Amino acid sequence: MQLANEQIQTVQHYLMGIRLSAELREELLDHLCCEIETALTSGQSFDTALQKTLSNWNQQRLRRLNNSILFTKYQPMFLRFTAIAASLALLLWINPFQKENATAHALNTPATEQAVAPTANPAPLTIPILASDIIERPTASPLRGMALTDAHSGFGMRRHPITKKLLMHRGIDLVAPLGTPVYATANGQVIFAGPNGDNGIQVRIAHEGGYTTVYNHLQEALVKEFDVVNLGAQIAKVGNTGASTGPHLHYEIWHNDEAIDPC
Amino acid sequence: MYNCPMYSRELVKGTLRSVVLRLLDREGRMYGYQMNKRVGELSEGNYQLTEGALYPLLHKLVKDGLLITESEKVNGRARRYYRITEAGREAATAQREEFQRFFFTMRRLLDLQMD
Repeated sequence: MQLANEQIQTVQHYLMGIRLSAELREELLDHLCCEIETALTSGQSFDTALQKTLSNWNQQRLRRLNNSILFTKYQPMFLRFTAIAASLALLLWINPFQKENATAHALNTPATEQAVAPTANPAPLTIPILASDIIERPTASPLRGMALTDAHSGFGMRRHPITKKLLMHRGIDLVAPLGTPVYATANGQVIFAGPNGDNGIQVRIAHEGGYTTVYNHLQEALVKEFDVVNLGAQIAKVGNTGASTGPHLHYEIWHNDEAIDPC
Repeated sequence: MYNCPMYSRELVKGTLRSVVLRLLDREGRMYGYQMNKRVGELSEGNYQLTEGALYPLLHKLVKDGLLITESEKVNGRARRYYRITEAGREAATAQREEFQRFFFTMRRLLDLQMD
């Protein structure tokens, strides 16, 4: 039993509402349609089959699948990163400078004080602070010669320039001429590149530590989905696509599905 | 279709890679839903693989060069087929042989009687 085009579109519409990589979305569309077709063959109505399949494939389950696939792709990078963090921590732990001072100190003190000297070493205290600082949000500016604080319109509540409604502005707007190069603000992997409704041509990049950066209203995206990009690589050109009133870059940082202030 | 798997999650998890590689080694190319169904048939419903384990594994095997993907338009939608590569066939054979040795060891360790 085969699904009609509009029935496939119903399933597609459901999947479009969930943040998945385009690759997985396409694959799951086929999978879900196959499940529904099997149910139809066994005599169920389309509505029942659809409802059963979609409640089985709830948003949470889809997101989890998407993340575990993303994680398997990222694993080597993640391991490399952990190795660097671990060796840095180890270096601090050993702390050759501190030790030299301690020995020098010990040599100059009478024998009775020598036994006390090693326990007074405060070096390990610096390690937890450093380790938690390593995965920090992307701080670079996506436009060269322009600081994040130069934003024409900042993060927070504001009146929308087109609809005039009071809305949460989830990012910052950097005004720049058409075609100005846009650079990746941290190492990561492109999870979306292309037209996306009011956002115009959009690029989204996933980074370590649950961060995602979003670049909207682009003239052109120079990367494609699944590309691995480094900090400072050109990814796009400033444009005026989507719901935009003039050439500018709308830039967002997300952390675990929540928009944060990039500044 | 989503009743509890007959074999424990741990056993399925540890053998899924061998099963998928062998399946593709035999059939050449398949898509996700088809693998799921085929494994269900071959095991008479005893070996239930979940999509949450299958798809991440397939994507990982593609990344490791053991499988390649081909997209085809079927019934008005794109279908992603997985095809085994030469490296994949070698891995399939190696895993199959390893499992055979493992099987004999377990038979001895658990003192299993074969009829």
